[in-house]
Amino acid sequence: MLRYLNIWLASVRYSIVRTLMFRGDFLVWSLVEFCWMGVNLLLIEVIYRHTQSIAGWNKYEMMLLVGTSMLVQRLLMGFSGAASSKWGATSGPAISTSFSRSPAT
Amino acid sequence: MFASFNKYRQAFLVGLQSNLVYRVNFAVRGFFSLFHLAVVFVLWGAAYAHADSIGGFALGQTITYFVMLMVLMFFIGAFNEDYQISEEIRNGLINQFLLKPINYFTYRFSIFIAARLVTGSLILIPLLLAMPVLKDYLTFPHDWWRLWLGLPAMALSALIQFSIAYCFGMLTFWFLEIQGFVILSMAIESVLGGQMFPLDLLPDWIFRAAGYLPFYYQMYFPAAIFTGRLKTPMEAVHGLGIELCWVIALLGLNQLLWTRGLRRHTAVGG
Repeated sequence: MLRYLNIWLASVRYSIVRTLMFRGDFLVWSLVEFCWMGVNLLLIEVIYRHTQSIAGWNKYEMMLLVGTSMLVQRLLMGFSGAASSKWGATSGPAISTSFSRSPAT
Repeated sequence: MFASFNKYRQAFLVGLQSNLVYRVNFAVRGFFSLFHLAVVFVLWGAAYAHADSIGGFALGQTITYFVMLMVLMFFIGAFNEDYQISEEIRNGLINQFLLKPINYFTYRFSIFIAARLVTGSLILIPLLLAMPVLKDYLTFPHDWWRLWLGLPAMALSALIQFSIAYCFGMLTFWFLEIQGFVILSMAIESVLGGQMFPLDLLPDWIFRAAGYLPFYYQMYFPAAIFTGRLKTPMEAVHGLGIELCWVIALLGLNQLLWTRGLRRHTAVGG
């Protein structure tokens, strides 16, 4: 069991090193993730400026819900591979209220 | 002079034919947009459960805004133009345009217009099917000036949408992959373009500042004119002026990127 954990950790270290070989690319994709997270939080913040409750959930409960959703999505993406996500190596809005164009298919 | 436009008319016709071949693809995309509309309906319906008005607008007006946004997306939004341009640069397919008397921007814009005519027409089908559910919520103002100002705003928005996509395509002269930049801009456009929420819900100073950025004119501005979120003709005219300035600025940037990019471009063989 420990042997497989060590193999997995070695793969993780290799992936990190390979990703950081292209630092500009890594920075851009990190910024993309950060921005999409910000967009989701901004949506909640803006809606709750004008209302106190959505289906009985207050702002912080809604943030917990969206945050948990984003965490689960990232964990799935990390452990099951980028191919499991339609966005490839990154994710889009957690709350899909935008009609924005999709990345190239 | 008009004879020189014949080549772009041919490009438009070819673009029309090629997009009609993929009409099922676009129709499916249009139907899936109804799922987005359903999410909008559920989310904003729940938000309005405890408030009759949000930002001075009722639920019907907000739903109308998002329906308008969906229609505008398919009529004037840039889909994969940035990736198509990027692929043509990477594969050397632009070389044929360097040797012939054809302007690449105008050629691609002709194809863009053709594609939007097809996708815009196709989105009306799922919208008509959803009309029995939507008709009680759709509320449009009855001022005629909104049509006379909204249509030019829509045309300029199409130019802005395409110009921004063209700029990203041009980045291929410098970067191998542009997907990161495109998705980053999508995040910004979804907020500042009014796609996530109507921009007038932002704090007043942010809303006024956003009005000087090009993203405001990508879709929010024409949608705001048509759906009544812009109250007076003077506001619309003021916006049209800023929009025109952005169109000129972006066209200039497109030309600059094309010229500078070609200095780095190498074409062999063929």
